[in-house]
Amino acid sequence: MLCIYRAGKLHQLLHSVLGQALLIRRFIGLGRSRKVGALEKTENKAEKYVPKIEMQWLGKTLSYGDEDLLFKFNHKALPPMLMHKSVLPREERAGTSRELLAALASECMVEWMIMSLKRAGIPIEEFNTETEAKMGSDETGRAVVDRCDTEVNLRVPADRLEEARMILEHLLEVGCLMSRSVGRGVKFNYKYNWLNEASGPADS
Amino acid sequence: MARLLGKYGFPEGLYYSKDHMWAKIEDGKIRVGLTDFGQQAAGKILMVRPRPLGKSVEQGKILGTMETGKWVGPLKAPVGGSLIEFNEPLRAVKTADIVNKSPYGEGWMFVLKPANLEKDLRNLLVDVEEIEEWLKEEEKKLKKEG
Repeated sequence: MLCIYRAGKLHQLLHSVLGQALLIRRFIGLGRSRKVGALEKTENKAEKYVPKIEMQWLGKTLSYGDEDLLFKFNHKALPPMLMHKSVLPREERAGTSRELLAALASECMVEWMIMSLKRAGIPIEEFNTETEAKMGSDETGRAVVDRCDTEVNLRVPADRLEEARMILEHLLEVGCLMSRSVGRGVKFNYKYNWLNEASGPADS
Repeated sequence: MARLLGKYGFPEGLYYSKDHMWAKIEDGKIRVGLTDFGQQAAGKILMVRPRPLGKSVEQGKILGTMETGKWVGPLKAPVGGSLIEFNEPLRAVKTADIVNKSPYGEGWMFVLKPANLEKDLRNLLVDVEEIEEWLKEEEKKLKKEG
């Protein structure tokens, strides 16, 4: 099964899968979200920006179709995103993580490409990408995303082609932050907290 | 001690291109690197990727690429010729920042066997007034780019 994402148009979709991991870590109950912070002290005492994403379940009932989600990225360039799952008919019901992963696969690298070409003073006459997130299964037989293939189509002036080609070769050789991170295996940690008022110790 | 122009080192005896590269004549060969201005503007350098050794490159054409935390950019030949040597430690993230630490010394990048040296040298900056004037323009550009 394929999922296709066209890069130039969905810029704000991102931070996505890694973001989802973080947000789920922070996700502490239905219909609620936890305060988020932008700065976190690291072990070496340096302050580093750590993205923290809030997600809210907008539903109120257990009925089918009541699964809309609202993401708040806490980032000036990323307005809140409504995942409008309730528009889907029952037979099309599915997760949207693959779309987000495909967006992630293209955004990071594409942004780096564009920034590099622009900084080198190479006019970009045309640029678009298409990413496919292809499914497979792991050793237990469960579904996994096997690979994300991104195809970049671009046009630069002929006299700058050699230069642009070398820049892109370098970028593809070393990868981008996301391809390196996901490629080596990002640890997804999840934790949940019961918000029930009278929840006592688990084994009491 | 290197000559300072503003906050940038520009040692005497070298030729400078407007692409922020320096060239030093050594026994008929040309050693090439990034200027102090170039390395300061780039920030920490993570990797340099050369064209294959033996490749002939014209003056002003791309000799290799340089990676920083935010972009990958071209390194252009200050003089034309064939690439005969590359400073291997610049391939590795752990050691590439010698360009930042010592742009005119251990952080050299390439050695070229020049093709039209006399002609190409005429296009390079060597005079201090010329360099200063060009630097002012470059600083303006840098400020504008943020």
